[in-house]
Amino acid sequence: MNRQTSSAARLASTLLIVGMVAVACGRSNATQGTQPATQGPTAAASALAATSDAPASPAASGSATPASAAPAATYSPPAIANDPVTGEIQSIDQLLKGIDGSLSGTNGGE
Amino acid sequence: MKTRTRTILAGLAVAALLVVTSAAVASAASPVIAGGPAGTGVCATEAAAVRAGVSIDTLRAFGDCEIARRFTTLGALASKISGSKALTSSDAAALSGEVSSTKSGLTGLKAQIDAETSLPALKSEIRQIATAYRVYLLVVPQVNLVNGADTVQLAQTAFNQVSTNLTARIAAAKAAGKDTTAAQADLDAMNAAVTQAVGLAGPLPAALLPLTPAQYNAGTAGPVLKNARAALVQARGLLQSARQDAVACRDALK
Repeated sequence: MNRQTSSAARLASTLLIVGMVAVACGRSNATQGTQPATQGPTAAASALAATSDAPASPAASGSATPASAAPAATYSPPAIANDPVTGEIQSIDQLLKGIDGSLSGTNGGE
Repeated sequence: MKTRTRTILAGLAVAALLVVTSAAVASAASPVIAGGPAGTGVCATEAAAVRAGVSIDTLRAFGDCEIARRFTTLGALASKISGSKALTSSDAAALSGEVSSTKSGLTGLKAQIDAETSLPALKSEIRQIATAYRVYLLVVPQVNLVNGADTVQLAQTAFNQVSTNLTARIAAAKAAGKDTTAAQADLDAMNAAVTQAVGLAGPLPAALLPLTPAQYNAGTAGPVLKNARAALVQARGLLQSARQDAVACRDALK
């Protein structure tokens, strides 16, 4: 009987620990996991701008937590191939071609 | 490893080829509508027959051919108007109306020519094909110039998006301690050039759309068309400059 009670207690404590770990992991993923992958360049830039206001060192902030020891904002623009500005410039190129076409259709006689 | 690299390079080459091909197809899909000279040879046979011997039949055949040539051009213009992504709805409606009324007028004139029995009257009617409608000297340039002017407006929207992105990027770079002086100067130059281009192209539709064949014959529409074309050339140059500024700004932030 005592052995059964002890096993049940062990099982309950194991489940509790597993549950706590699962909750902790879930929170961590929610705050860090997928967010950067879905950020656009503007959002990323805003995020960079926002983080640049953070203190550069723990000493300056007076905080002793490891999280506040993050480095200052770094600037990393997207590679040209994936750059939305590059895509927009390509669209502009097409519009410029359209203007060229319009201009070349304006000369002629009756 | 080498095989994998080769495979990647081959893939990139095929992708580049597809891009180039699709760009060529895209530009081929919007043919330039000839302003006149390209089509003048269409009725060369009928014109030669008139020169060989003026008669009701030879003149009528020449007139019908010239009208048919204009119908083809007007059809191409109608397609260009309906397919344009740049034309505003009001400009497209105005141009469509003009093309449609020109076609109706020429249809009526063709019926007159086909029924005409007097040689002097037929000669007069054939002259009207050009003078009463001015398809090549007025309608074609009107459609093309208004479309070009509206394309400048559309380009402004695209440049605004570029400006928004580059402004945010400059702010981020600045916050990270990067010197953004050159990038900001490029962005300012881009925005100024776009504003100037839009200022040149913006008034063109309102100046071009009311022009009539009668005004062309009186000599007042020609200078308006000429000035509009000059303004559009200038606007295009400014947009090309703005495009270079955008690239310079983007590259300065790398």
